[in-house]
Amino acid sequence: MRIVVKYCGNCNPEINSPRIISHLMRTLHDEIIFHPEGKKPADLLIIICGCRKACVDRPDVRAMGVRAILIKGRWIQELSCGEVVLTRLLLQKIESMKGKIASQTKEM
Amino acid sequence: MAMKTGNQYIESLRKLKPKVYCFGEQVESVVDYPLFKPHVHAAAMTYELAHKPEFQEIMTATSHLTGENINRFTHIHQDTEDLVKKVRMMRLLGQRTGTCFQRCVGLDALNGIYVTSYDIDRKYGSRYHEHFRAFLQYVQRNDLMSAGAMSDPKGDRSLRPHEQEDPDVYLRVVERQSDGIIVRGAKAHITGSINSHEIITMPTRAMGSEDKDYALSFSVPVDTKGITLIFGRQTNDTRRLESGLDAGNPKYGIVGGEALIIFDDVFVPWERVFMCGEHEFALELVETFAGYHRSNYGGCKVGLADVVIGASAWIAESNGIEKAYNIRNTLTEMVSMAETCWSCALACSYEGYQTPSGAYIINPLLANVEKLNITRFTYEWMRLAQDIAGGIIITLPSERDYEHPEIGKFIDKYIRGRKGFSTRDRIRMYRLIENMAVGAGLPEAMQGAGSPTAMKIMIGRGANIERKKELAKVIAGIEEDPYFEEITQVDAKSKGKSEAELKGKKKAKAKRKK
Ligand SMILES: Cc1cc2nc3c(=O)[nH]c(=O)nc-3n(C[C@H](O)[C@H](O)[C@H](O)COP(=O)(O)OP(=O)(O)OC[C@H]3O[C@@H](n4cnc5c(N)ncnc54)[C@H](O)[C@@H]3O)c2cc1C
Ligand code: SF4
Repeated sequence: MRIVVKYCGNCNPEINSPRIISHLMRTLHDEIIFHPEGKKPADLLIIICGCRKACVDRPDVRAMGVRAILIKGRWIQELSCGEVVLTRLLLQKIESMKGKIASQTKEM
Repeated sequence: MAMKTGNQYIESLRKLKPKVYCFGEQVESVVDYPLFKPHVHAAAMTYELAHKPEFQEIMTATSHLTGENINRFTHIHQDTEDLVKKVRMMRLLGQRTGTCFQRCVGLDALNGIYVTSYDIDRKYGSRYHEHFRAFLQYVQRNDLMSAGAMSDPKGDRSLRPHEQEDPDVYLRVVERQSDGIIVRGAKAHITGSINSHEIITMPTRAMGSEDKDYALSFSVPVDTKGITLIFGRQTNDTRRLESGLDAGNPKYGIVGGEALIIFDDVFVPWERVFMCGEHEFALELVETFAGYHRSNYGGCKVGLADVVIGASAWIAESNGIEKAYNIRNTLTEMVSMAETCWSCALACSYEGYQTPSGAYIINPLLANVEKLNITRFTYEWMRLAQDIAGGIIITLPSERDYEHPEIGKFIDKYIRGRKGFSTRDRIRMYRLIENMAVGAGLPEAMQGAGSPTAMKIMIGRGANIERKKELAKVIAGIEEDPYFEEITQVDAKSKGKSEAELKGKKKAKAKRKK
């Protein structure tokens, strides 16, 4: 799966976003891109913002992926948790999305 | 129904019959009682200015429920621009009334409950949010003023609600019926409650499972059976009963007009209950409401600062010292503090974010910093106003002496300042400074929206000291600095180190790490 990661800029983050993404890169065997070329949206977009302001959650960024997971500080998809749990939940979500994509491809 | 004008608001209060006591007597008509009139006028300004083209952009909004044009005091914030407009509205009204205009507590209660009732329903599948939206639509359509009643009397502060000797010192549910609940207890210091249409209650602190009867939020009309409001005294309040010169701000008064509200077995239908027993959401509601409310103070209190700075500058001019260095310096200091608080108000609004309910909320850390600054800076700019004005603000003879046929002429002669300024105007301005800088407005800035400790708790919670420690460790060289290493690598290259050398360095580092 092709995953695009979009960071917010991290001016004053509540979480260590690079640490979370490094963990992802070590754990997953997918292609993780930070600077996508061309307009083709990725299978999955991870928008990772340091705080709840989520200043990078914009339509032009959303267009970078077919589907997106949004992290806003200690919130992942509207659920509040610590960084360790957040990383675990993120991995779970990616795996479940992979499953869905795979079954969709089979059906096709 | 269209938005009310100031006058229509005042007339709408006549239709209500709240049970209000003041100075040991029951008050027949809130709007005609001389002690209350200034508060009613201040609140009426929140209605009237919404009809003025020059203020409409910030005083009105579009309802996300109906698409209708509504008064911003009944609006749920839909984006950060709404949050910014809200604090702009606060500053505007502070400037136009020179006091508390009361209606924002209810606005913050509406937004706080909108957010929290949604979260309760998400967890429990309850229908609080649906009920609340129906209530909100009613408030918007009828352009109602709601009092936001959070503070309980609290009894022994070291004990939790269920541990209190008198179980009623925190408002609680005493009976659950098929069609509603019966509540008993009180709320203290409630701003604008005597001249509101509705009273919205919220819990005042975090609650445990034993406190679940106190985890309570609802709304009732102010004249509901079983509710009694006892009005609080303020500094120099009876001066309003005189002809006006000594009152300082005779049109709009001082602070908001606070009352102790007694709930003596009051029935609340389920449609108006927005939390009942979900104790784990009490803190969320407290923090959400308080965050909104604290963000207002850098608006309303800065509006008041604008007035008091203007009054101080005018007095200096009428004393012939407006060009003196110390005066200009003092005024600059006052402006600088006021604009610092204003910056906090704007910042916490611009840094707001969307909650799961869809409503936007301010940045809580910045809002608490803002209110903590207000608890200090208000005292400071009022102190400086006292400095510029001189001792006369507390030694000035009374209006009756000024009007006296025999001695009035002495006051006119000896209180006079520079040519071109009448003694009467000087008295007015001195009294305004006395009203704002010596009176009840000071403890209001300290305690309103919570004591400084409450702010410090929230600031501590949002401070993320752990991250600051991590940053310090990197700068001190205790922890790795990956970006620095990148820079120095390039540096090394440019100094002619070979790729192999650099690779070797990398390997050695990896080894060290292992
Ligand atoms: C003018 C004015 C208008 C107001 N309007 C409203 C309103 O419209 N709605 C509303 O809900 N409230 C309103 N309030 C109430 C305001 O929020 C409270 O005054 C504030 O929260 C402090 O509570 P208190 O006055 O009961 O003081 P207390 O709780 O008695 O606090 C006094 C001091 O004791 C400290 N303290 C209290 N408990 C503890 C503890 N357990 N441990 C250690 N220290 C403690 C506090 O930090 C503070 O320093 C208003 C207040 C004022 C002055
Ligand atoms: S003091 Fe409170 S109620 Fe009064 S105007 Fe300011 S924020 Fe509003």
